[in-house]
Formats: sequence, structure tokens, C-alpha cells
Amino acid sequence: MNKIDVNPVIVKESLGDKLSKEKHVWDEYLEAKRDKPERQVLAVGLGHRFHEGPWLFHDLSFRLEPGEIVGICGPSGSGKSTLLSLIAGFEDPTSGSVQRFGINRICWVFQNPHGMPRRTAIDHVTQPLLGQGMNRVQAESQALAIMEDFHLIDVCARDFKELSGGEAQRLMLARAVASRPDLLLVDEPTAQLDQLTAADVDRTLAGIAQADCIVAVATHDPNTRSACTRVIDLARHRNTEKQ
Amino acid sequence: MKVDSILSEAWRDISSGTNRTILWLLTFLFVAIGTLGLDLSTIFALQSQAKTWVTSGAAINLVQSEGKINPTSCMSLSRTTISGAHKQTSTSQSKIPVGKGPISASGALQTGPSIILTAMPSSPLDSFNVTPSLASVLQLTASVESKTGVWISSQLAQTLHVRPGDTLETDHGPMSIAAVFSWQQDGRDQRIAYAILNPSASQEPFDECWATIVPSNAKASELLTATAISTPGTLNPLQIKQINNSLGRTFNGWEQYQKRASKYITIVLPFAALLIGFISVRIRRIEIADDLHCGISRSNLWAINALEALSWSLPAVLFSSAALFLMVRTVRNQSDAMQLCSVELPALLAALVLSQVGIVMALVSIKADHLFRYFKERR
Repeated sequence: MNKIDVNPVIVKESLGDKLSKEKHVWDEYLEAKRDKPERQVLAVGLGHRFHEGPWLFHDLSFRLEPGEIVGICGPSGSGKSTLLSLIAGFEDPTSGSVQRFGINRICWVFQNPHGMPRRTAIDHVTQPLLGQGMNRVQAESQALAIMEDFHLIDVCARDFKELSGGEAQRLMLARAVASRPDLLLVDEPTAQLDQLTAADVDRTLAGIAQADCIVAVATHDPNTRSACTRVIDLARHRNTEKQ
Repeated sequence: MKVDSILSEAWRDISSGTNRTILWLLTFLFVAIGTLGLDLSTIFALQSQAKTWVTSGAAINLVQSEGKINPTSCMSLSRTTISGAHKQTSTSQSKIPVGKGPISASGALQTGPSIILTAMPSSPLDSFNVTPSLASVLQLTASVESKTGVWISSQLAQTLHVRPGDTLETDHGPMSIAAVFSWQQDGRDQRIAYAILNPSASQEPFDECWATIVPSNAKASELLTATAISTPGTLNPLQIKQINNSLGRTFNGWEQYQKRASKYITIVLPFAALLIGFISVRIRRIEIADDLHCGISRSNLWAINALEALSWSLPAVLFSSAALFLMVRTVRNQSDAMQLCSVELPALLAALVLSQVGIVMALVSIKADHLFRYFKERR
């Protein structure tokens, strides 16, 4: 396997050539990682309820691996966000277990985009890359390449507060992707959006499958569900009484 | 992160208003000027009390023993040092020269003959022979001591419509007025208010020894009794009196300064800075928890937030110092403004340090695993 240089030398060139080169670097990085599914999330007999309330779900078993987009679907209140937090390890399940292998970095994209209002869109995507040790020039170049995938090039210089709901949501996805997480959790990405904007996000969602990243999307939106490669339906694991 | 990335991230947060620099700076300024200004006001009040103590004559102690006060001993009291006594440190409030000990001036008085003014034959005036050093006690300038002539109070000068340099025609011959001293009717001994003071270099025993003692010092007061010429076989303890006892027997400005309650109010500022530092980071906990999830290390976040905290804390300390200095210098016209403001410097420096401690405490309290909880709380 060729060694991937993720910090290419940037020379003066047109924006199109620059984006093309960075995208090529990004794609090479993904290609190199595709054959190493060393990480996974394994849930066995998972069940959860709050205090002595009814069970949200129970007897839930699944495995999550990189390269797929797993939809966690169910009606409102079925525990989709809760399941995401159990997968992330932010909360402990009432019954069963969740084991994470090879998971060091978890990114969570909420249904309400929560960016920094007065910072620009590109700053949001550049930040994780700066955290990986790149200098600003390199980081911004790679950020632009990622933002192109999420159709955000036209708004890269705008402040976060000036973005539309759909743009802000796509930006949060781009930021998460730039972070190169091991586990990416997306919580109701289209819940606050109108149909047209939601469709735009759904199209973007289809492209975030990462070779080295596990992606789980909680949604009750049938269109978002369709963008997923696999679905865990919580409605099938929900009863008022645990059996 | 590279160092220049940390610097640029901090700058972008500051310049974009993300870290609310102006808000925290103004909050700090408000607390600083409020608390430290209050403390300075207390110090001003103490200074005013000290000035009043001196100018009212309350600081002038005296002993009386007719014909038994050694004028040389009396005059030398102002050169006496006493262990443990605090010396007067500020000369800006009065004309009293700084002595080595608490006795800053001393002089002797002797009752003289009545003097009849040609212009007022029916109202004879008292007169006193005084040692030239009494000029300092009466807050006359040192140059008066070398002038020939008598001293009268401002009240008498006003009554007679005379001023320094004029001549009084008396039954004892013409008397040139060398100086006019201020002697208010504020509860002080009025014997010399309408009297003529005649400087005299006589070494014969006088009747009274006066000494200005600032701050109040019992040992110094007792020294006055040592100016009396002792007569074997007589037991007549001298009583130490005050020229003006309407303001109380003693005044110890230094002790009151040390014990002032407003000193403790200044502690509010450093803790307010800690709180501001803590809140300034804690309110961005979603952003910071997300940064941690995105792979930005805690040390990088600390460096960025420390720089951002400096953007409001350092200017706030500088502006507070400048504002307090201007307040003292302009409003109160204090020539020792720098010395006064330096009293508040420890609180300002402590605030600068504690603001950073607040930053660290807030960062430690923010957990990446709590991002979901922070988001739910926000909803």
C-alpha cells in the first residue's frame, strides 16, 4: 500500500485545480483505509428505559461497521437519540451491552446545527484539520475540498449565522467528516428542515459513508431512511412490557 | 495544533466577537472601579480625617507649668524619634514638615503683658512670648522664623484690617506684623485668637510647651512632661492637654487604614475575575465539547482560551488602573495619585491571575462525553 501524504504541498493554481488535487488526496486516503475494517460497535440484548418508565426498546442486537450508513428509525419518542447516546457510550444501557472496538473519536451531529454564529463556514471545517496539525493554508485547502462534496463552496466565506438551515446542517456534517471520526452519529438531520432543504441534506448524506468510519443516523424521515444503506427499526423492538 | 494556528484561532474568536471580549471587559471594569473605587474613597475619607485632625489643632498637645518649661527642651522635641512610631508619610495635605518621629513641630509659650492698640484703647489684647519654632506648630512657613515682627491670627487681622508687613501702633511701640496664622473657631483653645504672639529667643523658662503629634502617640505625648523643670520636693504631675479635644483624644490614621472594612471588598474583584473567566468558557460548553470530539486537544483549547481571556482581562486591568488614577488625580487632585493607586495593584494583579484560573476550571468541567447532555439542556 502506498504511503498517503495527507499534507500535500500547495502551489498557486486555479481554485478548480486546487480542489481537484485536494479531493484526489482525500479519495486516496479513503481508498487506503477501505480494506481495514478494524473498528466496530457490537450491541447485544440492548434495552433501555428511564427510571421505572416503559421500555423504549429491548432485546436489540446489532453490529455496526465502517463503510455503511446505518439508519436508526422509529417514530418520535421511540428512543432513537437515546440509542445513539448508548452507541457513543454517553449513557449506560438499562440492560444488555454495547461494546466499541477501535473507537477513539466520536462526532455527533445534532438536529439543530450548533455552530459558532460569528465564525465563517470554512472556519468550522478548518478547525478539526488544524487540530490534526496542519497549518492554516493546508487546512483551508482540504476544508474546501470537503465543502465541495457538501455543496458549500458558495457559502464558505459566510458567517454561520447567515447560513440557511440546510446549509448549516450540511456544514455540521462537513465538519464532522473533516474530524475523521471513528464513529459519526447524526441525529435527525432533516427534522428542522423543509422538504426541499431536507432532500438536499439527504442527497449529501448518501455521500458521507467513510471507509474508516462508522456512521449511524437517527431519523423518522422516510426519505432520510432511504439514503441509508441499512436500517435498525426500533418499532420492532418496542413493547410496553419487556418479554 | 501549530502555535500559529492557536494564535490565529484565538484572534478569529476575538475579532469575530465569539468570545464576547467587550462584555467581559466591561463587566470586569464595572466590578473593578466599583470595589476599588470604594476602597479608595475610604482611604480619601481617612486622609480627610487626618487632615482635619491636623488642621483643627487636635494634633497639638500641650503641657502647662507657669515659669517651669525649658524652651530648649521643648524645641528639641521635634527632633526626637520614638521606636515603633509611624512617621507621617504624606506632605501633600498640610504644610507640616515631615519629622523623624511623630512629633513634627514643637514650641514654647509664655504669657506676656497686655498690649493696648492705639486704634482700640478700650480693648487691650493678650500677648505671648513664643519660641520661633512655634511657627511650625501654627503651620506657618519656615521663613517666618527669620522675620522680625509679631504674629497674629487671621481673625484678629480681619478685625484690624491688617496684613503681613503692616505695623500696629501700640502702647509698647510700633509692632510690625511678620505673619498671620489661621486659627479657626472650631472648638480649639481661643487664647491666641485675639492675642499678639511675640517671637523670642529667650532662654528663660516659659509657661507652656506645645507639640504637634501625628499620628497620636501616647509615648510622644508623655515627652511633653519632660520639658518641665523639675523642682525637688514637689509632686505635681503635669496634665497633657489638647488644643482642640472636640475630635476626640486620639486619632491613629495608620491603624484605621490597616483595619478599614473596605479592604475586604477589594477581595471581590479577584473572585469576580475568576467567575467571569469561568462563565466566559462555560457558556461555550457545547462548542468546546464539540471541539474535543473533533480532535482538538484540551491543551490546545486551554491555550486558545487563555489567549482569549487575556484579550479582556489585561486591557481591563490597564483601563481600571488608568481610570482609578485619573479619578484620584482629577477628582480629588491628589499629587500622590500613583502611590494611592498602587494600594489597589495587588487586587488587580490577583484578578488577572484568577481569570486564568477560572478558564482552567471551566475547561476541566467540560467533558466531551457530556456533549449530548449539554445539547439537551440547551433545548
